[in-house]
Amino acid sequence: MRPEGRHRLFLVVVVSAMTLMFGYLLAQLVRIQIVESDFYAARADRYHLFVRQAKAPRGRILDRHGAVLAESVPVKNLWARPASLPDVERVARRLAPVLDTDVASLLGRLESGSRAMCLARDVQEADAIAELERAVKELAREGQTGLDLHDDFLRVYPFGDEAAHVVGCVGVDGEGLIGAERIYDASLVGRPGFEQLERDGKTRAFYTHRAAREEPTPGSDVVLTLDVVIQHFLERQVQWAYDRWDAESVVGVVVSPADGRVLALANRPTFDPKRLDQTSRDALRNRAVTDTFAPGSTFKPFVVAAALDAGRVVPEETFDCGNGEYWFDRRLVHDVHPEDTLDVPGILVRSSNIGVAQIGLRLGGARVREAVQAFGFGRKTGIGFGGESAGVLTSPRNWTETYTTVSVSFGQEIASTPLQLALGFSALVNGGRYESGQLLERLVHPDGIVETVERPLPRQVVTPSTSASIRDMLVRVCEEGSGEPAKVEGYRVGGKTGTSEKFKGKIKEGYISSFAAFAPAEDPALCVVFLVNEPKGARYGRVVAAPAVGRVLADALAYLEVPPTAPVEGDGGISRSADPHGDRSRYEQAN
Amino acid sequence: MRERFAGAAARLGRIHWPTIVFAVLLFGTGLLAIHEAEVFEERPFRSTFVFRQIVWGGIALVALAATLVPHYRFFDRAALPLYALGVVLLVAVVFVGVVKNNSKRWLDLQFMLLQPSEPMKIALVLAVAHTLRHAHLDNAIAYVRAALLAGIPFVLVLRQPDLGTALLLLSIPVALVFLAGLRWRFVLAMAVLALALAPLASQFGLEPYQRKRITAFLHPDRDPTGANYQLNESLTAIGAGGADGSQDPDLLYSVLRRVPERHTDFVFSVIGAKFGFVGSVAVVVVFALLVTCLFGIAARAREPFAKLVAAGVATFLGLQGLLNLAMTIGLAPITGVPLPLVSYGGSSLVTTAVALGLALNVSMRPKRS
Repeated sequence: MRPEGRHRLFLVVVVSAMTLMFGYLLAQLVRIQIVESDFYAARADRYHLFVRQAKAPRGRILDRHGAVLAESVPVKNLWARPASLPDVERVARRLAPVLDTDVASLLGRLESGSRAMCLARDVQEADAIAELERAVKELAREGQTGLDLHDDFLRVYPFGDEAAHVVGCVGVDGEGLIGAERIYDASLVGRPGFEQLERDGKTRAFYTHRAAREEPTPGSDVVLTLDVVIQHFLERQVQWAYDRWDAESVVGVVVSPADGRVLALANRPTFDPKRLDQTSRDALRNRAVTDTFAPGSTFKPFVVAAALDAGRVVPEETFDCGNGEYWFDRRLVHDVHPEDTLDVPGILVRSSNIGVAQIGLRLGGARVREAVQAFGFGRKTGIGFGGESAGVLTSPRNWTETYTTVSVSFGQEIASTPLQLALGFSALVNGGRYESGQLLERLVHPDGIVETVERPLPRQVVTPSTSASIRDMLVRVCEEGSGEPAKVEGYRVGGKTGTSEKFKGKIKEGYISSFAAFAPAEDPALCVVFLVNEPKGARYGRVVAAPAVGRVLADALAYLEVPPTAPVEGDGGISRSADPHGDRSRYEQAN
Repeated sequence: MRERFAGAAARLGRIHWPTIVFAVLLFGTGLLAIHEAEVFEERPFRSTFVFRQIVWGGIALVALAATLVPHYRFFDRAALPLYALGVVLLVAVVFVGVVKNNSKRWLDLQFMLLQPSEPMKIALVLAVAHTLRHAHLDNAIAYVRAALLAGIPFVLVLRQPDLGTALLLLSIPVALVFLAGLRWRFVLAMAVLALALAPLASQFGLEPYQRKRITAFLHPDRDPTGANYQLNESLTAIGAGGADGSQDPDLLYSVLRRVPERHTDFVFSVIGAKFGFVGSVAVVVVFALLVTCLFGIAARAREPFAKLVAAGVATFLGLQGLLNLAMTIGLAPITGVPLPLVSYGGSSLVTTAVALGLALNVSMRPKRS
């Protein structure tokens, strides 16, 4: 082929190849701009439209009378984007006095290399916010546009560490971590609002008819069964016991026996919900539901009530108490206060292990176990707190008369949480109805609609007459027996002390002193369970726990204006202390 | 005097006018696109890229006219000195070059940043055409010389680094060697050699970012935010343009502001977004017609040097356009190659104008004289 021909051939080849490539380009443009155009247009829309979230304020947590236990207050956070602050020094000099820091440290933060940083968090006071807004506006006019004031909410707890385990606390993102904050999180959170905006070429946002928006819906208010005043009375006594006996931990629970409402619940050690970072996990534990203990003598009335109800014993019947030593089969049981014979009330007043064990045996293990379950032991109360324990109840397979029935009768080989004991005790004295524990009074939704919770029906455990005779016996415990320090002037108080040994394996670790009480005996308005774990210097419930319970009852009965039922005699018991916090009005807020 | 004037008028009458029409259409479209690419930034007119591009357009026109004045044989004689000047400038870049975006490609001439690899394209076309103009079919020496001529600027540009321009420089001697009449077994041998060397070259000759871009091109779904970010934004702009372009300026600008280098390398994305399928197809077709015109000039040229020059210009402009367009829609790895006549950029515009001037010069003087 001549060169000319080669040239021509080559040109034809090259031009054809390029034409093919341009053709392929065009085919691809058909695909991108015609066939798949919608896909890319949707992506472009996402660049163009954006959604701005508006946080919803979290609902409040209130006590039964409306005192605010937790609420979210609007605050401002000041954020800085140093990339849009051409003159950081000027910014630092302007902001330092407003933020109450020195210029150098502020400058250091702005120049730290972070893309965005929060310079001030949770600014609450209107004056401070106004001053910040002025400074930000002034700097923006000078071209320092990298400062933004963001709306946020701050969770505040007006009562601090009081009722901390009940109210709970929230995490850094406002999510409920423990307590009511966690249990009712779904109702408290509310629904964040949003607004859809468009952007122009300079990324400035603007609203158009296309933009959808929705206002944030605040969370619902949660009204608890708690009463802050009774809570305060309880907190004082729990603290007293914690300090006085140098205890490992102290738990107090006050419930309304008629309906299972939890009126107060306090733990030591406790925590400040705003200082979670300085709190040990141990202090966060709500021992009233997470910790179990052998109730000891406090448990005896349950077995006695079951036996009375079943008709296996009558109150006047006497039992041989062997002068403090008694053989059950090949098991020797001791009494602290030796007696020859005791009738049924006497067994409770003198807290005789031997007597109550005989009553338990007469009823029989199966009936004892059944009764104990009916009083709510061995099963979670379902009140809602996280980490709740079911307690320990020996299974029928491992149950023996000589060991299990005898031990359970005086509150060993069984473990209960303080709340279980309080609810069981309420059933014992309220006419025999087991009421499940209640923490939530009602929900108040942002639209004003009030929602109350359907409660399970009460369960009749013993007859009202059995309940009445047990009440009488327990009143005698407080008048003649170990409960005597809990007597309250003007009221008949019933109760039962308990002292149990703590074992770790075979080694005795210490004692748990407990006291369960109710008042007034005629129609109990309050039931208190008080537990002091490892008291130092004393161990009997009579000394360690009963006086504190008496003071809680005295204060609370007066506060509730329960009419005195007993004649006031000289030295009739604890009279109501001159309590500066007893005045309800201190806690009531305009709401 | 009158005769000379009449001669000039006659030559101008023979000039290939369609080439000029297509070039002007592309330049005008480019101005519109550059305007759209920056209008939302609301800068004063004197500091816009459009303004500067108009100024460069005037300079390019003067350069084009100047290229038409001498007979193309003048460029045959000047080829090697011009090539030497180009290499000197490229070497100068190595020592006193200006670094932008991690590449050292520019010389600071105070009033402008000159990118010597752009004029080098023309110098290389001239030098290779000069070398091969009398080459006989079996004159291996001429081919080796052509390869050497291309090798020096190729390496210099590759190390700047600028893979796209380097490959374009390499395409010039390859195309011209074939056109000069190489035997087909040479073609096969070279193709095999190139394929064998490609992985090695990729491993040792490329910067990490270049390898990443090629990997991203071969596996688009592997890294959608990193190396493929630019491509995704470009595709979004072009695709959102749809059939007839975007009617909502706020939407258009929201999309465009995310397209990188939208007034230069990705100017076609702006055209796709603003004018839609109609506009982008028009640009591709006009560009293809322009390249076809240039090859037509080559086909009609009588002297080997003229033929080789016109074909060289057509080849590198055509390949450069294809490479740029393919890159904006994901058919080629992203390399910093502008779209001739459309993208903003003084060096590129003047170079393209001079290249077109050489081809037009050939078209004006069809006869052996």
